[in-house]
Amino acid sequence: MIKEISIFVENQKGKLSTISKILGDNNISIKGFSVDDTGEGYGIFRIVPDYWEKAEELLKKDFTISVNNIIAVKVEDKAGSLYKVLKILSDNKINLEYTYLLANSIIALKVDNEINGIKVLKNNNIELIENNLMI
Amino acid sequence: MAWDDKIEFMSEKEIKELQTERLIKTVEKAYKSLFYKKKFDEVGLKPSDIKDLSDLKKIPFTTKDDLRAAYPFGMLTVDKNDIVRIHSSSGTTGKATVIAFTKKDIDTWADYVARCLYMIGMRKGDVFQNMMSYGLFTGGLGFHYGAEKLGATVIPIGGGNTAKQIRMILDFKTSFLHITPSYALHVSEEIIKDGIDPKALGLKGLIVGAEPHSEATRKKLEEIYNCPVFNSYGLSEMNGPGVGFECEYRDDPHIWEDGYIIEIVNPETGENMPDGEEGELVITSINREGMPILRYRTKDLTHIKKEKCKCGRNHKKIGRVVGRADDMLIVKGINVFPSQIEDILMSIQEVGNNYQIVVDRKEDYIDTIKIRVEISKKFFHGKLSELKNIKEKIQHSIREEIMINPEIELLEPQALPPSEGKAKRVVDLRKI
Ligand SMILES: [Zn+2]
Repeated sequence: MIKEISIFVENQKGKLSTISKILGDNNISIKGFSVDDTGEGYGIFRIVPDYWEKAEELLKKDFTISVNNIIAVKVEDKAGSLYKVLKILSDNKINLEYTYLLANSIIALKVDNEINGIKVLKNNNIELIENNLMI
Repeated sequence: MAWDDKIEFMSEKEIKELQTERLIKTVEKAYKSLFYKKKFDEVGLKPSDIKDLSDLKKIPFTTKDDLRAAYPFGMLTVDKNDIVRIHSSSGTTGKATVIAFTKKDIDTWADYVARCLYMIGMRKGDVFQNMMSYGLFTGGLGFHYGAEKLGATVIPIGGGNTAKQIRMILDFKTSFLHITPSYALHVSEEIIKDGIDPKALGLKGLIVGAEPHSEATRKKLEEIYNCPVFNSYGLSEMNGPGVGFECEYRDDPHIWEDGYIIEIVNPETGENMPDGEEGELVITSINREGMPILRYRTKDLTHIKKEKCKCGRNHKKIGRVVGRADDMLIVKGINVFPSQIEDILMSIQEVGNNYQIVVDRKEDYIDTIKIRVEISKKFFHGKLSELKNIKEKIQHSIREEIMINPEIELLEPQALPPSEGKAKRVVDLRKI
């Protein structure tokens, strides 16, 4: 299972770079990220670090964070491949909450039911990434 | 000529005599209430111990908390069936206070307000647009009854709906407005946007109240509307409006001493202070039947003016209220206690320990209240919907309590200064 760290941020300039710096200084690399901005003065910064446990340890003191499971899939570099993944999920009544791009043509998927999500994707021969270090 | 020549132009000596007579009667009456019987008995005071004005200070103070504790009818001095009206302090659940009126009280109250309005030049035939909220708040109905008693034409429009307010002023040739100062500024801007000069409205006067404001704001309003602006003093515990009013000299309100005995006390020690010195205003109502209140701590900080007024009235004047002995805020004319907001925030588990209340006044003179809250780390699960729900929950609960829709700002833990000592929980950015 892939671990994603969500960080609550007020829209303060420099917050994202502070977080990137803390992780960079500790040789943790961010494999992908997204920013959910509400436009109301706060938002959520999501990152997928390679060494997520260490990242959690470093960030939890000064930030409001939450570690959650996500699914990461390798999508082939051709038209329609992302659609194929999304269709499998929706055909199986699994709701996608959000998605974003990770490194190496890997897509992060946050669904309402990870266990089922993984099962149906596997059954359809979609390549799943096992853990954060394999991204 | 005044509304009540005899009372308004009494000599100081006559005022004192009338006050003494009414105080003695009021104390006798008050002792019939559960509340004052207990209060007197506790300190071993008998109604007969109060023989003249100098005995007043023997009577223990009555506070807002006393009123809350006596909720709803612990302070009645008459049978409950004789109460014809109830008002309550600004819609605060769990913290409500009740003010009860007999038929006679309503009439006496209307008479005080009529006296005030007549003093500032209102006459039969004038159109009075009452732009204050009606309902439990005494400001709306108090002026309504007073103006009707005087014989003016009353437009009971209440607050808000600026376009309609302007329409009414134009259609009915309104001569007097009762309005909060900030709303008066807002309305003037809207009138100008409509291509009308507020000076051309032909208003005879503005009555402003329910909200602290500076002399500069009054001058500005007088300039904008080209008419005199009068300050009113009142509080629901003392009926509401009509306790005091500025005369034609517009140099602070006369308090109607035939109905109210005023004292200034040191807010910390409760010691009486000489005229001219700043302290907390304490009022005793001596012309109420259903629910007289003795030595009420108003929390308003002011002083009793020593100099006589040029108008010839000997009823004492109080200086502009300079602040509050408690932390009550007045936002959009509504009384808000930071503790009300704190109680709500602390009952919401997603809220962390720190919060800040920021009151501001926008360009268009509308007050805003923003609550900045730190969220609790425990309740963050990485979902935006969750944050949105917390925000809505806070907003909704606060609106229910204070009747004002606040803006909510969610902050990270430790974003605000720590709450040790006197943290600045309330920031008032308004320039009054
Ligand atoms: Zn005067």
